[in-house]
Formats: sequence, structure tokens, C-alpha cells
Amino acid sequence: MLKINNLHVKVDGSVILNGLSLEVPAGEVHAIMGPNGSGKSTLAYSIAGRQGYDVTKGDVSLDGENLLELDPNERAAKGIFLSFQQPLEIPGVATMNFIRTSWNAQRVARGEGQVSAADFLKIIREKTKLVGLSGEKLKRPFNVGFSGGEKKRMEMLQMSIFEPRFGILDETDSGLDIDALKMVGTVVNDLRGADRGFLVITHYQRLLDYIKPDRVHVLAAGRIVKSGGPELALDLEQNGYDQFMTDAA
Amino acid sequence: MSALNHTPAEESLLAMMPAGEARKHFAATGLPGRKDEGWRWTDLRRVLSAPLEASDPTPPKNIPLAPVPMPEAIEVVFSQDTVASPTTLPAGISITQDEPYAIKGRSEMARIAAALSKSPTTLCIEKSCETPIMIRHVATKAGLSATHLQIHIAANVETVIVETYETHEGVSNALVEYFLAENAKLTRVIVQKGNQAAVVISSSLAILMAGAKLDQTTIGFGAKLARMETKVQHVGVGASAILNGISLLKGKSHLDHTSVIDHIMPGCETRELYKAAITGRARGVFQGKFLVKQGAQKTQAQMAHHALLLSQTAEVRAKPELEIYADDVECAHGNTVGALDDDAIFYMRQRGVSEAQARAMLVQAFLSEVIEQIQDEKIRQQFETLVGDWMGAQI
Repeated sequence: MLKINNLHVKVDGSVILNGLSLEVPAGEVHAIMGPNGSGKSTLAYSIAGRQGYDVTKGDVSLDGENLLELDPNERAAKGIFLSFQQPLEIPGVATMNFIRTSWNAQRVARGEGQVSAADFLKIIREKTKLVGLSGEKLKRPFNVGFSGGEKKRMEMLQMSIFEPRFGILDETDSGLDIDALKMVGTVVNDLRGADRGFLVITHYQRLLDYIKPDRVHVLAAGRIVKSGGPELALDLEQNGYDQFMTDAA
Repeated sequence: MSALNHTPAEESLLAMMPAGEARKHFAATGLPGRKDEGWRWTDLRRVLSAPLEASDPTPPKNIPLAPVPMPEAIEVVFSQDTVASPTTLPAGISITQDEPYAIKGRSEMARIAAALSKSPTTLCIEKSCETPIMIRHVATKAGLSATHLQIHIAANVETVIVETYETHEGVSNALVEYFLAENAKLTRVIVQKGNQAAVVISSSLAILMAGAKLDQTTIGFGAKLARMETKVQHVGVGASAILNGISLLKGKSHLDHTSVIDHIMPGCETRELYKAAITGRARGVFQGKFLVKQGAQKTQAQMAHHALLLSQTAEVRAKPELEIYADDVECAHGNTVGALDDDAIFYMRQRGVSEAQARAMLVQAFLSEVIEQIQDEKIRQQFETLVGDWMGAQI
């Protein structure tokens, strides 16, 4: 499914990712853990195609298709969804309109038909309940005046509506209470399936109580320095990242 | 003062103007331009340097479609110095034509419009009318078209007037004077849309008696030079004015929104919100002045201008001014210039929206604050269409 090979990325002239390789087969959930500044968000942005994240070497492909040649919206249409660590507020853009426009843009790019207003309303109502947002929030401009937790719920709302082929959760757990963490777990677990993959970027093991990863990778100094099963997350929780820092340097 | 060296345009205007005060004044001052404080960024004198001809007075055979179609409206069309209006008008509305007459005071361009207008027109509205009145200033031929219109709105009367400035050729110079009697309410909508090579000057004055309300929204697309000037005088207690506007500028177009609001009596209110989206090598100008006279206590006046520059070469000039002689007032102004938020564009693209569509959505979002304030749903929709069409043309 998602294959990253020897990825080198520079941001503002500094090397952030330094030969990162990773493969997430279809049907699996992988967790990426690592200290601050190790390149976790850079990895997420590079997969999504953010400007200013210059890939100087390496490949990123989804189902064999080179993502690096595609615009961010084309990658989204291929099924890449990034749950932002700090979701944006977009004043003046109505929430419902934005989500529907986005979804339809993806669908049209994939050659699927647009979703009807009635179907959209039905789906968004159902998913809004699932992520624990009040319907009132949907009437506001996108994310404007939302709390940090509500913004994360809005990310999960979009992911559950779009049902992407590959979801990247960039520290979606940060700033969330237990109920919200459970909600993130529910959304991911509902979507988990044979033809989907997830990359869950987190600092802490606790999210992984709700989303059981197939593999855990440690990212340090721009590379994967260790990979293992779910038990690796518990080990990190107890022993910290220091054990890997010398290896990475 | 040394004698002014007239440009060929000024010479030709002097030849057209009847003898009198206005001509004498014009001979001494000439066309306004960058040396005049109020015109420093709108250099009409330079743009209009070639000799001008009076426009061919025969009405054009075909009047182009209005930029905002309003089939239900009472339509008054000024074209090439002629006026066409419906033969039957609802009770309480009258249109009369007068002999040309000069005005005193006012701006240079207002005086020129009055001096050159062949058929000054007076519109009286003495009964509230649900049907909007559409006043179109249409120029389809080369040369100078001058119009002078007075509009009287009687006490307690409510009306909607849509003014369009459709300069397809030549130079338009219009003077529109509104008199709002006690508690009259005017919704004034101004649409400036024509050829990018034309020159458009609109000078308007609104005199508001006690309790009168002016709710004005302008949308302008600019021209080689376009200047939409509104002066408001709060001469009655508790008068209020809303002046909102949108500029959508591309290519080399130029649009100047100038407003001067004179607060003379106590308890008056003014709210101004102008937003500009500018791309290409276009230039937007905003000049807003609040004058609060000594007796105008309890004045509440807020002015805001925000510009979004969509290209490296787009330009905006802004001058908000407060001149306050009363001590118990609440006045404020704000002015910002910015670009689209790259982070928001990336976020939207990550969700599947193309870059062009993301930019269009953000520009529309930026302008929505003005559009949402339009009370009339049909007019609001027409503004949305005008903005949407403009954005579509940019993609």
C-alpha cells in the first residue's frame, strides 16, 4: 500500500528526513513514535505534499503510484487523508459547504459522481454524532471559535465521511481527553479494513490503547531507527527515547 | 497663484462649459490630479490629458444588458445625455427634467457634471415603493457623458435604488444628489462595471435629515480610472449611514472609493466596511474621512478597510482619516492589507480542493462579511454571482 523508500526531505534548507524507509501494507495500522523534532510532522506533510517540504531523494508511493509527482489535492483524491496536528480555522467558509465541496472534488477527480445534498446531509448528521460534535458547530464558519478538542473532532468527522484509502493521524491525540481519545479509536477502528491503511503519529502510548497498531516504528533524527510490535510502544513509555538517540546520531 | 497651463483635455472642457462661476473656477484649478490631496492616488489630470469631445447625444440603438438584471425594477436610463424612463410610474414617484443649472461649492468634478449635463433630472419619491428603482448610467460612445441627478425621498418613505455605472466607451462624469427627509430610509446599491479602458467618475452627496437612514453597498470592478465618491452629511439628529463596498480589480484597472462623512448633529451613526481583492497590476484606492463637528456629540462612527493582494504587482493605497471636534464620541478606524493564507490553501488542497478553487473560496470568504450585510436577498444573490463570475474568470 504505502511505500516510502530512502526519503530525504529538506525544510528551509535543513535536512529533516534523512533516508527514511517505511512500508505500510493494506489492512494495517502502523504507529510512528519519536521525540520532538525527529521529523514526524515533516513525514506527514511530505506524504501530503505540502509546499516547502523539498524531497531531495527517495520515493513515496501509494499502491505503486508515485505520490511525489502529484499536487496535494490529487493525493487527497487518491485517498491520502492527513489529520492535522493543528487544524486551521477558515473564517468566512461555511463548514458544511467546505466539507461537501472537498468531498465532491475528490469524488469527481476519482470519476465518482457528486454526492447529493440530501445524501450528504444524512451522512454528515450520522458522522457528527459518531465524533461527538454538536450539530450547531456545523453551522459555523470552518473551525472558527472551536476548542482544540473540537477541531480534532472535526478532523475525525472529515476522515469518517471521506473514508480515505490511507489516513495519517498527526498527533491527533494531543490535547484530547479520555472520551475524545476513545472517539478517535472508534473512528479509526470503524474504518480499518483490508483495503485501508493508517499511520498514527503520536508521542504517547495511550492512544494505542484504543488503536491497536500492527507495527510500531521509532523515528529519530529523520530515520526509522527501530521497528517492532505493539510492545515497542510500551517499552518506549517506560524507557524513553534516549536509548535510540545515540544510534540515530 | 500662477496661471494654470491647461492640458488639451482641460482646454476642450473649457470650450464645452457655459460661462459662469463653474467655468471660472475650473479655469483656475483644472482637473484634479496627484497634486490635490484628495486625488493623489487617482491622477485624473494625467489619465485624461487628450482633448475630450462632447458625446454624440443621439441615444444608442441598443442598450447593453445591465450588470445586475432586475426585470422587476423601475428603470431609468441615462445614456449619452438623454434620459429614458417608464411612461407610467407608480403613484408617489415622479421624474422631471430641468434646464441645466450650475451648483456652488462641491467638488470640481461635481461642478463640471452639473455645468455640462444637458438634462438635469429630479426624481421625487413621496411614497414607499416595494419595487426597486434602477438608475443606469450607460455610456456606449466615445466622448464625455455628463449626468446630474437629484433624488428627493420624502419623510418616512422607504426605497431601494440600484445605480449602475456602465461605461463601455469614453468618459462618464455623474453627479447624484440625495436628499433624505426625516426618517426616510434609502437602500442604495451601486454597481460599477464596464470597459476596462473607460474613465468613470461618480460624485454623490447624501444629505440626511433627522432619523434618516442610508444603507449603501457598492461593488466595483474598476476601469482605466474609476472613482466612486460619496459624501454624506448628517444634518439631522440621529441620522445613520452604512457605507459598505467591494472592489474586484484585475489587469490594470483602477478603482478609488472615496468617502467623506460629515457629522454635524448629535447622535448620528456611521459604519463603513470596504473590502478589496486585487490581482494583476491593478490598483485599489480607499480614502475615508470622518468629520465630527463640535455639536455632534454621541456620534458613533466606525470605518474599516481591508485589502487582499492576490499578486505581487497588485497595489493598494489607503487613507483613513478622523477629524473630531466633539469630546463625547466613539470613533474608530482600521485598515489591513494582506495576502491569502498559504496554510489555509494547503489545508483545503489536502481535503481535495484544487488550488484555484481554494483561492476562490478564500476570496469569497474574505468578501462575505460585506455581502452578508446586504438585507435584500435578491441583491445579495446578485452580488454573490458578480463575485463568483469574477473569481471564475481568474481561474
